[in-house]
Amino acid sequence: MRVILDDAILRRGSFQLTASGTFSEGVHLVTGPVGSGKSTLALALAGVLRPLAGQIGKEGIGSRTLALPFPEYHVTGETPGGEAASWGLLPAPVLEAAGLSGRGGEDVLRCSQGELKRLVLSCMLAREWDLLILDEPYSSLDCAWKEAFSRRLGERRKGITIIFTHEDEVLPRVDEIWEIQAGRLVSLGRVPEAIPRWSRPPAYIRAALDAGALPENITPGDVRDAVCRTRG
Amino acid sequence: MQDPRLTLLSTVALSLAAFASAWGALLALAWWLLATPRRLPLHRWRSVVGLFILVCATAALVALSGGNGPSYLFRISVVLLIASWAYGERRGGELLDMGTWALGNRTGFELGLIAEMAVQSLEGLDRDLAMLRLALRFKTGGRITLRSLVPALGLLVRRELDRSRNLGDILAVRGYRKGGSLCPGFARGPWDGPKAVCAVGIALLALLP
Repeated sequence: MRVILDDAILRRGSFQLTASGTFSEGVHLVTGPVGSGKSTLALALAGVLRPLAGQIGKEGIGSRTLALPFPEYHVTGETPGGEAASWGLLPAPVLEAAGLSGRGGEDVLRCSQGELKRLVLSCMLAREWDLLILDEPYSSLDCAWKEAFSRRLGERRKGITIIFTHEDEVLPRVDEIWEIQAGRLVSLGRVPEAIPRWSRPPAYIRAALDAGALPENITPGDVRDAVCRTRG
Repeated sequence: MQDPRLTLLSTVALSLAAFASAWGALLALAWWLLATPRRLPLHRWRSVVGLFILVCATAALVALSGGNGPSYLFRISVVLLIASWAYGERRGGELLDMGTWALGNRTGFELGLIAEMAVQSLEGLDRDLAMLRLALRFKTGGRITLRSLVPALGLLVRRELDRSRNLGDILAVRGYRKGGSLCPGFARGPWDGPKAVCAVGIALLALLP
């Protein structure tokens, strides 16, 4: 199961991004500042945007989906329970995972954007996908829910999961880190070797690296452990 | 055309001419061919086809009720062509500039601001609908039912209302009460004037007995 980018040149308006590399099974983090082309790349990997030049090939990919930053686009159920059912899922476990137990029959218009985000992400994560692309999955979530979804994302073992985010407080366990630098997608390699190569890591990782610690992964817990080990 | 005032004048004049008679529509079409980059909104071909089917259906009804269906079809198609050109020519802020230029810093500014916000909302809704179609493509494989659209559209309307409320709050926090101070500026291309004069001339030819 692989997604292969072969010098793909992507353009949206006046913006252009060049991407090369292979996404294999595991959890991948693609970072870059706002406006660096993360959403453009997400759309291209999902097969929505065709490259201007080069190719994007997929091997062994059957099921795939794309989570857009705003959850409203995905909702087709009239209630949270109906929304879970629209994904072919049993409502109770999904509602529990989204923190909406007991509200399965409520009008979906009464849910806040954060609640809708939890609901849609819970529905997507409850299913198996060969290719799961998440564009800014942490937007609209508070810190506690960011941590909860980070744990669940880090636990994904099957298929290719690609997370596009500029989040700098909470990140999941990942297998590989990619960074968009000056209009080009750069593979930093596998974790933990990739962490010191990160040009713009979140502040908590930067502080750990400055203190001489090399975390095993990029979750706040991993970074805390690494700092503790360094201090002895 | 760079000057939005002349674009608006030409749009109104050519639309009137095209609607008034088939000859007016023919002259307006000639103006479009000669005075614009002749770009059709083909990237929105679904909307174009949908609109054209609607116009064809109306023309058929006109023909069935004893009117001149082909003439109606031609005239309305030209009106839509001119409207499409005018929409493609617009730039952010020009409605505020035009409102203030025409009606001053109070009424004009407010009308211009309202118009700018309305256009922004329409553009936002357009983007939202494109994203909604994309999300449904992944979720349902493109099978869209009215029942599945209702919650999604309801949420989009709510999002738009939230956006408007936030914009209102921002204006209030910044101390906006009524009117504003603006010195509108307009660029003008070398052929803007002659093109507008031709457009008004076409309208006069089509409208005068």
